[in-house]
Amino acid sequence: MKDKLAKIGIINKAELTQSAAFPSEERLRRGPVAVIECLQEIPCNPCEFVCPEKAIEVGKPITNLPRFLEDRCTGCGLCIPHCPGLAIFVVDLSYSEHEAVVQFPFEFLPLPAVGDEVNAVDREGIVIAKGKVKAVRNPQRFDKTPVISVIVPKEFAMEVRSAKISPRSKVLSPKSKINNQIKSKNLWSRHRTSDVGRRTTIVCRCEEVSGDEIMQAVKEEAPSLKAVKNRTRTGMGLCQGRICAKIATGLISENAGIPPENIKPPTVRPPVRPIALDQLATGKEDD
Amino acid sequence: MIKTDVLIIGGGIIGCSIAYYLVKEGVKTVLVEKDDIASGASGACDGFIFLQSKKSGIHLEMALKSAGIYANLTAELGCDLEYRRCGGMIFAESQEELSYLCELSEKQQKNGLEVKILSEAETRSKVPGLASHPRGATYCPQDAQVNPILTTLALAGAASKKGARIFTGTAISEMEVVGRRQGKGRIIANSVAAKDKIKADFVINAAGAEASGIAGMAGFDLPIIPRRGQILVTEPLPKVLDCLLMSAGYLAAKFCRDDDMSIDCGVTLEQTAAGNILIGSTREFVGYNKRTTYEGMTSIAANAIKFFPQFKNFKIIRSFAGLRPYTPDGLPVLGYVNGIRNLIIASGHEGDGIALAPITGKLVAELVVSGAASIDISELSPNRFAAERQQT
Repeated sequence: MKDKLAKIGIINKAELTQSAAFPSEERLRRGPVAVIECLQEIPCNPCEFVCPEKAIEVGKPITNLPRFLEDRCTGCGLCIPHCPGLAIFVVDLSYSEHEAVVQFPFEFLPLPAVGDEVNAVDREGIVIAKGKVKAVRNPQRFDKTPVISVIVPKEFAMEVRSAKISPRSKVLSPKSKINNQIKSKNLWSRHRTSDVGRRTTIVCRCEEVSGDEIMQAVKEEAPSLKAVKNRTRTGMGLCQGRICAKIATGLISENAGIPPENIKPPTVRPPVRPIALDQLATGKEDD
Repeated sequence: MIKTDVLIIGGGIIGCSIAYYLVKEGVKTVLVEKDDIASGASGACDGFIFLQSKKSGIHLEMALKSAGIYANLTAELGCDLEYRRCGGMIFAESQEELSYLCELSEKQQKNGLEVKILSEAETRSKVPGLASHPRGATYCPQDAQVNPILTTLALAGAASKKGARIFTGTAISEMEVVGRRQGKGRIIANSVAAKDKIKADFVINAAGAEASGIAGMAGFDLPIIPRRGQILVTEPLPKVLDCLLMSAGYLAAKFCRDDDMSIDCGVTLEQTAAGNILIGSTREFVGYNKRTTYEGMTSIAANAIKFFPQFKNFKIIRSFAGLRPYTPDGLPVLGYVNGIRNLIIASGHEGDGIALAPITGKLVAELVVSGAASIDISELSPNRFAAERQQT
């Protein structure tokens, strides 16, 4: 079922419509609704907690795919910027007789302006229609994942998932972007506001290690990722630190007073993503 | 200048165990580790406390004593070491391997090991999911498992609580031997990071795969070389394996330097407390290279499926490799060095470091405190290799 996704990294329509999170046609016709395009069983569940209507369920284990209770969804779109995989969209088929509105996360610069005409692209990044920007939302609580609403012809509503914006204003060079990221040394505090939140929040989701446990390990003279890993299992789970290493680095940096760029990144070992034993043994591809 | 009774070089499970047993005897101890506690082979291995893989004689005697200590170590250290007396099995793929195992276990039984031979049917009923080709196995209920990283950290923690000074990120840069001419050589060690001399009454080389380099600083020729073992880690799974498993081929490869056998050399399986299955291993001579390779990983995966066809869909999430300290005769090196009266070597355990750590710590503490160990360890002397070289 996850044929396309596993092979080329792009979901096809058949894979999507079979997913438990896909809204029904009837619900789509009724108005704005979340379209969750999440088919990989990774340890991830922010969508479950951010939805004010409790319309998304992941539950335990955390690697479950999300289940979608479509009648609860109001189409508010809060889930869009909170999905780390940028896999959630909001589609409104009721916008007008011939047009629909698609909302998608957009982590590129420059941002378009309301009223701009943009090239709307499909999941493969191919331009398939012209769209008009209806809204650009980028408040602080979206944590640097702006959400763009684009009006497109109705027949493309389930295909358009992003847009190509031509550079217009001064574009930050990739280098200065990286520098900015390093300069914002407090990677962790960007995400948290209260001390209680800091202590109880799970940093390593696969092994369920809290911020508190990591800070405790750092206190026991362990100002490196490898040492924190050995003491707490941070990064030993399914994702192998791909999700938590950055946040753990921020925490170590803050608690040990070492700049994050001086903290050695985790040792990268194959496989890049989980692979079945027989695939590894025979080198054969997915069925 | 740091002055201490004993300087231990190496913060792996052997060094940390020695530190723990020394401070327990009230000996002033300093441990230096160039990286971090359990950052070498002790943090890149499985948790086998395997008795039936040991040769009868001193090797098995030490393993039995060590297993006895492990049984109470969780309570003694007050930490969960994920210790479990789960039993272990070595299976034979041919009649030839089975008779080799029978011969081995007969001798081990005389040493007091509760090892027994299982028929084909008994083997399969004990290990559900095993392929149909193994001809039988040996089973030992005394075999156990432990989390090696937690154990090393717990030993270091307990040692430090009792007063041992542990310097991580501190390497030894050189060693001076004074008074060698009078036949009373003594060592003074210099460390890079501490920019300090360390003057110790005793120096203990517990540097594992790097022990020969450290011994070389004191002018002693120690034939320990690194042998790479690659291991695969599965996703956490519900309990599918109860006891530790090893194929006879893996045991045979320990005593074989043939390069053909170094990558494809049988298989070991252990399910950890967290549910991950650790699948090992290769036994390669590739210097100090700690990377995992495509050839090594595919060979381990193929071997695992050969024995457990039903495991084929289990997901592998990581590979890692550790450098085991190999000695030419497969026995650890433990004892004083001729000509330097305050240098003790405690290395060369190859794949047995975890199993033998507690007894090694205890014996070294005895060597320091009373000058002699409570069991005869002359067979493990670091001077045995020089004698062999002269003979040939």
